[in-house]
Amino acid sequence: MPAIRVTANVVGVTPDPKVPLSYQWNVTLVFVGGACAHSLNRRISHPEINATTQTNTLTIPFSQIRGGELTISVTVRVGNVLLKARSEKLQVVGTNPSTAALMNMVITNDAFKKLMRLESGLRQFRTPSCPLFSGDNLGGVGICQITSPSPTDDQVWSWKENLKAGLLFYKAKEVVARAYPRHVRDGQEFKNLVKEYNDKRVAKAKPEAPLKPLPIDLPDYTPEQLERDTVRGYNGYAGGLHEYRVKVDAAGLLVVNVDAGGNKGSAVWEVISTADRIAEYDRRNIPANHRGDPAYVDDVYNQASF
Amino acid sequence: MYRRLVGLVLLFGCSLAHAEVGPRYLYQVSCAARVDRFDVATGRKTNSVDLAKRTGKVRLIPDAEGALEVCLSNRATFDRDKSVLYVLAPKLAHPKEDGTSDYRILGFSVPALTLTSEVAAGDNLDHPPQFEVRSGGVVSIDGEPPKSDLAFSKFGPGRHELVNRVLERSGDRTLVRLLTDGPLDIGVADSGTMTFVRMENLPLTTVENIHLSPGGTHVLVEEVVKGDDSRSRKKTGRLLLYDAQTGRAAKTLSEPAIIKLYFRGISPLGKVLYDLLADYRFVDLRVRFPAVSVVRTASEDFPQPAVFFSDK
Repeated sequence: MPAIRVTANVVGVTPDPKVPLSYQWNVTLVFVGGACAHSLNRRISHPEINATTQTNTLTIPFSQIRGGELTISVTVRVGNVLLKARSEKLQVVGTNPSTAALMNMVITNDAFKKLMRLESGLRQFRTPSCPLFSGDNLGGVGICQITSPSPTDDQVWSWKENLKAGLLFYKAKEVVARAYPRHVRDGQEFKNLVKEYNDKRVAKAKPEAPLKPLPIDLPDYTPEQLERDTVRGYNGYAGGLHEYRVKVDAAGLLVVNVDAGGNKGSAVWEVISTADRIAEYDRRNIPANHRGDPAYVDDVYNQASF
Repeated sequence: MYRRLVGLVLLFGCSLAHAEVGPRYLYQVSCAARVDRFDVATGRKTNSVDLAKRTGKVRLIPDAEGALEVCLSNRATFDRDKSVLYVLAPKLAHPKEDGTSDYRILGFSVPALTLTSEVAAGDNLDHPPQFEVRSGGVVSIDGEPPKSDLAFSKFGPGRHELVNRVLERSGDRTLVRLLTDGPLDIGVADSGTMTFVRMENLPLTTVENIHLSPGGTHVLVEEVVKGDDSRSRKKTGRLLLYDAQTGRAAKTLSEPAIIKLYFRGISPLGKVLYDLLADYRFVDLRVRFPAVSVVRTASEDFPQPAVFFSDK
């Protein structure tokens, strides 16, 4: 946060140069979101600052990055006269980071950079005096549109803190995405699909060449799949749907790649198309405000990096 | 005696002593913890309640902020004796980083939908647990998952093994898909008579568009046409009601209004609820059905809405 230096000039009274003056300062900085779109009237206050100086200047010792309406009061006793002054309705505003500043941050993941551009256009602030609150009125904010858990006051006013939270959230979703193949493998739905596949395989075999049930694996994600599913998670796995699902054929039967020896099979992941995703949301009657962006992953990858 | 209730359940609040009498109210429970009450007689929605706001000062159903990732009111099960709706609720609106969730089972009185009970249902679980409601309202956790296929060799007339998938059950009747290489092959198995009847001359349809009636006396089939891509299908609005004893279509209806809506359930009074979000419509089949529950056997973590019936 840039330093703000305040000066108080005593006018109309001549102080005794032998008597040192003591300036008592009081500073408040309050953001009231009422005038900012989608702020949900959020109110953020910097802790009140009280300071005493022997000179007539104060560099305001802000301990947090905040914006809003700044009020500065100063009191000084000159002889028997108590002098007071007050400056109010001053505005501390926010500045969006430059691309160069963002490039200086250690963000190694290109997908995350694109995601940031989609989420906020790389802006922390909608206007200098208004943080960029999310249009869905869920209280999301900033360059990474941190929504859940509810963004802290630091994340509202500091793009660096917002970015830090966004990266942590992305990493958390990466953990979820990495665990998803195991989650599906262990689920009853997949076990039923495997059983059906094998029942059919055994039933179709000729009596002279009987077949045994095939061990069928569901592979872990490739790095590309992991990244795409992580990006999906950033927007939310609405309806419990991830970016991928187990591929079945038109008849609803498991698609299996059988190895050359015919001893092992491997199920296949497929991307859930936007149309199918919307149809699933409809089938499950998910309210419109809880669906997220059905095309989120493609929307992210269509952004430019930086 | 206890009823084993698994998957998504359609239960009916009272028996049909006379054909004209039947549970008047249909309740739909969606994963957003929303319960909608419909008056089947008038075809109107009469109430819509957020269960998350019915647990008093302590929020026992979490708020879903943004995308609804987990089913907040899963495995809806209606205890008709006590007139209590049980749902499985996760403690958090998102799975934990390891993909697991913690659960509790909540009971709500019907029709007031006030909280009556809370039971822990397990922590750090990969998938939502099954549960049973025994007589007296005692909830038991970790029931077996529903059986996904039928021992087909026990059923006449052929009595030979066929690979199959159970879709729905009601009473003694089971809606079964035969996993043949040809077109969709659907039938109803009757474990009372140990017979299987195939539905004949099915229109183009999908397994998602075939529904067992209460009691399993009929099968409702929604005709579809191919959509824009090879996998997608669109409803035409043509409905065929098959007699499960003959396998033949007993009735055909044209209901273009349901094309963009989703099947939710069949009432014993013969009314079929279709809806999508705020839009809904009842189709009158003009057939009465026994007041017996229909159980879907798919054990999805995030299922489509469940419905149950009550006379309250």
